[in-house]
Amino acid sequence: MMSSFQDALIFAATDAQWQKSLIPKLIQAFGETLYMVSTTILIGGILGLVLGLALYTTRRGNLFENVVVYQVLNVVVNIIRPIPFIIFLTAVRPLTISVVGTSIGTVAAGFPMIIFCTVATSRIVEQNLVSADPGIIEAARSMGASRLRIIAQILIPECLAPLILGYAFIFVAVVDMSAMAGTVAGGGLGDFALQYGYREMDDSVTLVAIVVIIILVQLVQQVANIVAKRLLKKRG
Amino acid sequence: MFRIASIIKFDNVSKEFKAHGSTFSAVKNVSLEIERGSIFGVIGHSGAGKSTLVRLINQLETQTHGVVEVLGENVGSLNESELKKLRRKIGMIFQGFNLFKSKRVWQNVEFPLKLAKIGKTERIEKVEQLLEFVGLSEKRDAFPAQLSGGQQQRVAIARALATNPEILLADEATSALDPETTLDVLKLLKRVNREFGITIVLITHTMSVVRLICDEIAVMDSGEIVEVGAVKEIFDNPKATATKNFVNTLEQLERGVLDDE
Repeated sequence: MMSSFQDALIFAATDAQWQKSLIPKLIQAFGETLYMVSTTILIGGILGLVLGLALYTTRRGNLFENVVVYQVLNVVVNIIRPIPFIIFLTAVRPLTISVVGTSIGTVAAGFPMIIFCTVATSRIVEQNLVSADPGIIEAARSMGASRLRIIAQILIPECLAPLILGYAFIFVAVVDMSAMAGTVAGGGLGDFALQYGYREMDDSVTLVAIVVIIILVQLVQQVANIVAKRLLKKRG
Repeated sequence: MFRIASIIKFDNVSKEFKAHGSTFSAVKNVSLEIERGSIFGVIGHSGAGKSTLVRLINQLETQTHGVVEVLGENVGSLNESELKKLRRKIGMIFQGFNLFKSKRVWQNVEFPLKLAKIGKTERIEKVEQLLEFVGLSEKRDAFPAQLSGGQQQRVAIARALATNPEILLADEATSALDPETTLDVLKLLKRVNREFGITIVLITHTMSVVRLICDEIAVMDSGEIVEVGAVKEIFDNPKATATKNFVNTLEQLERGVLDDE
């Protein structure tokens, strides 16, 4: 396996066809992946944070305890999350068309990605906040802090390290989603690998796409690990 | 009897918790008055309802029946913003210290001052004063995890005193500390009471703590207050069974004997 990776990379670096047409396509595909992933992480990450906070704070005994709201959100999240993304992508097509105007292309692929990212992020956020010490919330309440202030200035800073690691996890999931978006001509590295690797039976294309994705994921995970470790080191 | 100086007053107060269809009474028909400027102890076994009782004072819990009066106000009738103001007059410290781990020592103490919308220079000045009072000026830039338990509780005391409260609630504040550190923290609490005239309501399951610093105590058992009085009276002449057990246990510990009579 290792040698085939090496072969593919050497081949890609030296072959004339790669030089002429595949490398520019790879760069374009990488750009599209970055665009899809960053937009999804940005919008879905923020919406997911809000939804996750809603899930956490409406739980029994929590700041905005509300059994009905919690149950509704919980069920919605539970319905969407287990659907394989590739099926979800096609299932929400009618909705995508009505929102984006089309169901094909990078922007159209972004819509279901954002929804899916929001839902996945919300669970990660909720799970990390549940592990927060309820004592610190009680202390802040005893000082007369408002509930929104407790969330923004106490809860989130206290859980920052696990949240950063959670978002790194989401990043990987979104890269995965972006590859599947290739199936609706969403562009990106997944599309690149499918079109020029799988359909044209050129394994070197598939392998190069994999290597690029691995490097991207490693980079982000590494940065998240370093930041989280620094935070935890002092704060214990 | 008419007592002009009561700062906290419970009038037939009960607190019930409902969970999974059944009801549990944590506090039952409690009537109690706490004198301004005193150190008042609430003693009882874990699960006796002590923590719930003191949380009614700053409304971290709300009573099911009865009236709780704090600083002349019926706390049950206060709206959100009135409650916030009241809470600034009531400091609280906890068994687990509950410091904000993501904030440095000085930021922990500063937080309640920010809530009270006090200006930056005044805040910094007050933080320095408070850290000096608890003897931790040199630890101002440390994170809580870098401090010992006793130091963390001193920071928590500084934080609880930041808004010049009139009442300090101490929920098992020394239960997680070793005997020597317990003594240090109790001495500090006594200074808080004597130097600032702050009324302290102290929960504990340890009789020796009560005897060291309390003026008056209430003994709680299964949600009820079974005995109230001056510490000396209670020690000399315990009436309720729960009280007798507490006094006996303490005597046995002090005599160093394990007798079952």
